Amino acid sequence: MREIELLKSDPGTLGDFCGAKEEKFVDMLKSLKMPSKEVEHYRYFDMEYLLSKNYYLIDKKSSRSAENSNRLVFENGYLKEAPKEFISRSGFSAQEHFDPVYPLSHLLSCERVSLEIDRDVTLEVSHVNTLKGALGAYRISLRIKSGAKVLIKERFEGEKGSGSLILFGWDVDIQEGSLEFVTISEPKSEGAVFVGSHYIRADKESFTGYRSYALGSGTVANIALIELEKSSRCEASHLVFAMERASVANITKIVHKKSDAATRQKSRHVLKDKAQAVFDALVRVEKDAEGASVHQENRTVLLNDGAYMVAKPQLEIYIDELEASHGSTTGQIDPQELFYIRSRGIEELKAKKLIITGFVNELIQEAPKECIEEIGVAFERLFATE
Amino acid sequence: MIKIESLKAAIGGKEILKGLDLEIKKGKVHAIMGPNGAGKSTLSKAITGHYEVEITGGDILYKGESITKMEPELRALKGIFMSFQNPVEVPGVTNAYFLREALNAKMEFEGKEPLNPADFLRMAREYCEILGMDPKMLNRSLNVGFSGGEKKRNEILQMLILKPDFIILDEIDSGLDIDALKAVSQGINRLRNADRSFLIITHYSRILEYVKPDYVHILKDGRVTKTGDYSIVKDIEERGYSEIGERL
Amino acid sequence: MSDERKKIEKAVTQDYDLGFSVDIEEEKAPAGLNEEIIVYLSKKKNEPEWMLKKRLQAYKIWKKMKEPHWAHIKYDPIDYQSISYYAAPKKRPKTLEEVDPEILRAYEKLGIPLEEQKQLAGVAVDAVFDSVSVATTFKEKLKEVGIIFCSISEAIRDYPDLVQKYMFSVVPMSDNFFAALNSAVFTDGTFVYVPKGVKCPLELSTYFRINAQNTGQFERTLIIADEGSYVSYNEGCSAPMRDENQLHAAVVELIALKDAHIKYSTIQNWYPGDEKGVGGIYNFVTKRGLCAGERSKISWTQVETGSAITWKYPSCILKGDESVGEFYSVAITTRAQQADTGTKMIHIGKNSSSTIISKGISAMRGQNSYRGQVKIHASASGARNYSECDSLLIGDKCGAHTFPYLESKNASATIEHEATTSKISDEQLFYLRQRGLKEEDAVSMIVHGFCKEVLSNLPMEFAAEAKDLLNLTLEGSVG
Repeated sequence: MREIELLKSDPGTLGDFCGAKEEKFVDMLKSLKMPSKEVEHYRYFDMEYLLSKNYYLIDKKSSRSAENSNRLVFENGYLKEAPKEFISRSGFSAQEHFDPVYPLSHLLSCERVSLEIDRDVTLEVSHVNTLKGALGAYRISLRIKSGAKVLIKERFEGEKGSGSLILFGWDVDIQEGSLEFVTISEPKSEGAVFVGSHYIRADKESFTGYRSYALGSGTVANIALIELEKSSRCEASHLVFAMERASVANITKIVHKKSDAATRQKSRHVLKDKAQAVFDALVRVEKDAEGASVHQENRTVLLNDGAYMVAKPQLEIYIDELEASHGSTTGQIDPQELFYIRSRGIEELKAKKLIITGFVNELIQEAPKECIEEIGVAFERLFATE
Repeated sequence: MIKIESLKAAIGGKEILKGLDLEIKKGKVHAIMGPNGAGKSTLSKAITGHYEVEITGGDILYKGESITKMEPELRALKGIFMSFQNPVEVPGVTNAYFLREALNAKMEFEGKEPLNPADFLRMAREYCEILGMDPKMLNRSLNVGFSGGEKKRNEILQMLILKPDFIILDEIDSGLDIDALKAVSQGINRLRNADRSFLIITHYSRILEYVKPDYVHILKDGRVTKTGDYSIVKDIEERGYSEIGERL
Repeated sequence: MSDERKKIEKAVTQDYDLGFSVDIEEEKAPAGLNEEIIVYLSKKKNEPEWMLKKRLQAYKIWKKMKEPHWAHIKYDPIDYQSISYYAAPKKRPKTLEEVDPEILRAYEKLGIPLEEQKQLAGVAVDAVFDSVSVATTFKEKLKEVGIIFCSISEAIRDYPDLVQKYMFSVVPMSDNFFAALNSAVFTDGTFVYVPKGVKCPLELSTYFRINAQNTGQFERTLIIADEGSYVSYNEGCSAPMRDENQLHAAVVELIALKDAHIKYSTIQNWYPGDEKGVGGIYNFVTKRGLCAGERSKISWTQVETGSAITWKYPSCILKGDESVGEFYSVAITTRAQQADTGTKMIHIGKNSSSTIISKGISAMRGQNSYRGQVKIHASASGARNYSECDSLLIGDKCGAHTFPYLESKNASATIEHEATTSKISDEQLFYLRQRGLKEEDAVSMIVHGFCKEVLSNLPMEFAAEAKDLLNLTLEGSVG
């Protein structure tokens, strides 16, 4: 175990730590520069602070011994369980990315696993960290072939891992088929911080569901670059229930590379106490992407003063054959709605819950059945009286 | 049922009710008429506990108990119901879910067992039919995208389900076509009985042809300036508010 | 490319009508920027010592700053040492009659017959020609009600207390790179002070014009509306055709005290450069208003059709309780123009409210970005913002971008933002043409409709001009 001072490190030497040096990522990180407040999407999510802390780096393990299982489990930076039948030799990664954490996690990764799936499957993924003060990094590469429908359900356990930072990420190539990617984090104020920096390439006529649920009081960031080829569809949804001193970032860049692709992006934030959240979502429609359809919508409720929301729904458009719109609202529970419901005999707290339920309903309807309970628990916590 | 004694109330620091006296008797239908700005809506807001209204003097006694400091939901649970002039839209919350929550809150308050979902739905559908409402409206978000007429019918549906003791109908007839007006009136008349009181707030006399009031009050400049029977309505129709006021 | 599209492209461009240059003698400082140049400039203008000190202080700050590059614009590096920081016509006329006839002719060509200004009802003009005020009219009339309307140079000499109190108070010299540069080298501009309770009886106007080759324009405007006063100020610009890029880095500071209302309208139609992006003005402007008092109000309205590069975010700091900020903008980019423009609404006061209506039109290779920040501080209970940002695309080589930053720290505040991006629909065009309209008229009509909400906020005299300008930009030789 070695100590590492990330911010002072030179991109060229970072790969040496884990022997994962790849020129592509060195160059990428050099051109993107180390994460700081000057990187637009880290202006409101303090990545610089996270990287400035002292960690000891989780090293590359000498021998791999992942158990065969139907799940994918990472524990303290290493692969613990993996479905052998899907393990493949060749990995996949982005040529370009907008997020410096992406090449950084590649360069630091002590563990990489490559999967190739050609049938319909649900893959449960666990990220566990119990170490304190550790910096772990690993990457997962996934190719989806032959029209397979893959559902990934990702969960995190890090409440014991105070002071740790896990930089991980997925590189997914949806060649033919569809991906439903569900990431549910319940960050705790004293727990490990998970930062996922992903790349999804959605080939023609594919479907991508990218859904993040951040329910808790700690720090978490979900960052994704999604590239859409001809006639592909992307549905992105983000549900955030954040409380205490939570800091939640949903950062996406969805690029329409070719024609007739569609993006629907929705987010709902409910923030309490001193929680802060940033929704930084750019949809870029490139020159060859005529016939694009883009809709973004963000809605936020602040339950009290001191909660802090930054919404940045962005459109960058280089063609005229398209339909694009976005909307964003931030506010409190509408007092008129509240009065109306109370005037029917429903007490205040319950009336508030009812309104918030309606507010997030659309996103909950889309959530996989198994997640509903967790969302429900987090929902109750939002309204728990101290 | 309700006794209002020299009530003074302000909205945004401006006094609107200036010592209003009114008594509403059990089992009777009262109508309050008056020109725009007389304070009709402020009165209904004061009775139901709207957050905008500040009571600056006087008292409202409901079944002998002062309610001016009571939470709005408690007033509702004790039987006060207002049909809103402009019912708000609550996205994402279905009509049926909301109605059942409201009904169960009332059942619980009265120490009764909550209705099971199947019975509730049967009842709700039955009332929909009476009001000429498509039962599909039960599954739509509360008031979202409802037409003016649909919203008013939905208010009456809530009234039928909750069976309150004291019902305020705030401009229930505004924006209704004749069919909707008949359906709404039918719903109201259905609930008329010896124990239940109504307060119909209206600018026009249209609704009063279908729901005959026992008493009519004229509200002007924050006070009740005249009380009488249905014949006052005729007077207003013929002579307008200003002349009625002058005669007092 | 389809015939249809060609026509439309033609319809949205045309040679720059105002592209001509006038020959007049100029007094010019050598190119380059250093302390000596600033001392020379300050001396030339007979400035008091304190002003020179401020300039030198700003220069020191500027030297340490880096040119910002976060905006969605691309341009060749600017060589700040090749720019001449001072140019003034040699003849300095004291009255209209003394104005160089060449200049007057230029104004006439621009459609601003200065000689007729006095007859023009209700419009006073402080014409800034290449950095120095050459003529001011209607001053006496304004003086009667106590309004000070003069060049900033005069104000520095004659009203040092007001200038020292308010200059740099809204846009500090360290605010940004271009503001720092302006603070060091600003040559002239306008100063307005409206006393307590006075409603300015005239629309105040100024026309800017860049004339001298390689001369950066560094205007500085300061408008103070004292308690309960009202003023409407119009600014319009035009520049002759040049091949070399010209830098413009203006600073505008507005201060509205309690119950005061400032309306600031701009029409900007400087030389945009040609189809390849050669020439044209680089316009890096810092405009900001402070709603200092309760119920104060600042409205920005802008019609931006010119410049090769526009970098401009007229903003409001809503400090007073119940203060109001408004931003209405139409920005058109055609040829190879790039605009990154928008606003900032900073809510500090309780129940402060802001409205943003932005209409971007992109044609040919134009790139048009809306960038707007709404920031609600924890103190701004009951604050409200409404933003509407629509983009219209004409052709498949242009770009339209929307970058809102919506921040709220107060639960009782409301932010609402909506944006759409679309092209002129074929059905709309067909419908209008079926009714007998020429294609270019149809396009123009649709664009006018698209911008209506903004144009209706311009003062009367300006609205007609803006309409003509839109037509000029959109008009071509179609049909």
